[in-house]
Amino acid sequence: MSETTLLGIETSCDETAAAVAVETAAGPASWEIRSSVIASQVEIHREWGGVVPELASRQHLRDICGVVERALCDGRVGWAQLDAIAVTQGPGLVGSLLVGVAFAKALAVALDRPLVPVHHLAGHIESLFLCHPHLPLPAVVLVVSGGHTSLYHLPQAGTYRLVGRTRDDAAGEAFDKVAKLLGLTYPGGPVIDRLARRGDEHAIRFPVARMTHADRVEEPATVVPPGSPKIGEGRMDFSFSGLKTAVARYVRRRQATGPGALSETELADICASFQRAVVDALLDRAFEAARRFGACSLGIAGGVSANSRLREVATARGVERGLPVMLPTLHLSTDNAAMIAAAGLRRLRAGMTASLDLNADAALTL
Amino acid sequence: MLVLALDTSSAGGSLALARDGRLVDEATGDPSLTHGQRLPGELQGLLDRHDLTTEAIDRYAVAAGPGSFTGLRVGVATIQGLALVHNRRVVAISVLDTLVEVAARLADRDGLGPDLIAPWVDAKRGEVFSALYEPVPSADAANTQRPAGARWRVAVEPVAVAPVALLDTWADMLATHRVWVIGDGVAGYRPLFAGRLGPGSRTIHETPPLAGVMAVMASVEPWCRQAVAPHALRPIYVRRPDAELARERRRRAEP
Repeated sequence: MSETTLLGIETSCDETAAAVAVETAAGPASWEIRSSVIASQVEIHREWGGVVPELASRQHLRDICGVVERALCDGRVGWAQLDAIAVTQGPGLVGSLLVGVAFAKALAVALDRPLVPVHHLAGHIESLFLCHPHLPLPAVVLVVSGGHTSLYHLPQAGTYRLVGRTRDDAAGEAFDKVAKLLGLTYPGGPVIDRLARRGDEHAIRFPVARMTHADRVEEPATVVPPGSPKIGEGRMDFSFSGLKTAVARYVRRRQATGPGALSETELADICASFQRAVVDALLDRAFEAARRFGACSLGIAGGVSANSRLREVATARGVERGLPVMLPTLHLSTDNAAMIAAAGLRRLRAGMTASLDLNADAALTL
Repeated sequence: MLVLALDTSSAGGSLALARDGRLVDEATGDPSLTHGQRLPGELQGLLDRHDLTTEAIDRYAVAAGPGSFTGLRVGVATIQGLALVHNRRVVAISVLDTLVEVAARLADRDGLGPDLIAPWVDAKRGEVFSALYEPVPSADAANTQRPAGARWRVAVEPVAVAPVALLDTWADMLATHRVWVIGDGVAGYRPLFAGRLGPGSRTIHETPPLAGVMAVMASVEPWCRQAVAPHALRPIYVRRPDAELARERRRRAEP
């Protein structure tokens, strides 16, 4: 088989990213990321306490040419060497997605190369294969970020079955909102992670969301065949808005009754206790899903997978239960185009290319 | 010199091809599709009709705005991609300048042209994008060898504002000058002009596809000198992001 060189482009939220990936043989073991460039907009959105979609769209347009050129340069690849263009089609902010999709389609026309549409979460899942090409399958993967919190069952490589998702806020969104109500800076995840290291995670008992009766009643340990209808919708779902409200209520009560502003110790305790509740909620369901589906490994991807406590607890629980826990590198945890290129290579091999009327889809399902 | 032009500032938009400053072909886009769906397929269709590929294009022109934010970004990103691959330069042309070019060409044919030209673009939300253009005060102003639009310059910078407020601001000027108001924003607000325009003034809501005008403009002075690398393309939004406007309103409301 000859080499396949692919350019991946990602603009679903507030990072403009491009990467060059090469496949020398079938499968992720032969994937090589030649370059991965990310232009982050975090400084632009920090003063707003979150991503402002219109500002994000405007910035993508400013950055995209330079980011793509840099990716080609770093990867020592010329336009003529590219065999395909992959781009995030959705989900995400529609204005941001449109910049990447329109740009990628133009490249495909100018180069007369196939266009490969990629689901953003498929990209996050494939980031695990970039780091762990021989990830044991079947697997369960938790994709957790500022915009998404979803559980997927992977019976085989390239097949993603949604088995649970958040019913309200994404976990990363909860980090941002709690950081904001504590007067911390955006993005909230890294700040809370840092402060939590100095706090007592058992200082405050914040509630872990209980979604259904089944959450409260331990079910017999049975392995359910892939795709089984017995896994009812919602059984593996998450909820974080109640936790955020509980933190807000705690802070209000404390400020109404206690002396002065929150001390550094109190702030650290709140951060640590909140973080523990999130980590528990995520991992309880992820490990439960792994058990139900007879998974040979558990993957955790997305921006929140960079959280140090989540990594630590997930790894420890995995060792305890004899279940390998797979995490991406920190560079591949947050939004990037290397993962889009990887997912693009897999889809290209499967012949899943798009026509020129491909449109961005903010609510694309996987 | 082959120029490919694209306008996505309004629904449907248009695309055109010009060779050595003369229009070769133009088409309006399918308004039933979003710009994201119809591009770059319609551009490729235009090139196919002339047995051309994107490599044959020497320069691109793109509507920089003002207009639909999303439309502008799809158009600019599309042209950025095409131009970047083949290392071509792009002329970003103001939609307001283009409308002035259309009006000025009409004025050249009419003989008795306007004193002032006001492009008038529907900005949605009950507003229009507008500006005021006046003749360049030099010998060049009467030189009909120069492109029509190049003999006009901006007198009042572009704004996004409610039409009534703008007409009130311009009331004296409208009464004492021949003013041509041109653009897709005219049709929706025609009754507002009644009794406000003086003799010789007129409103023009039907314009040719703007990409055709842009393709020719990008081939000649002064616009051809404004060609830039695709990295440097910046839409002309005129209206600031809603988040900034809302923050400003909040700050003004604070005691």
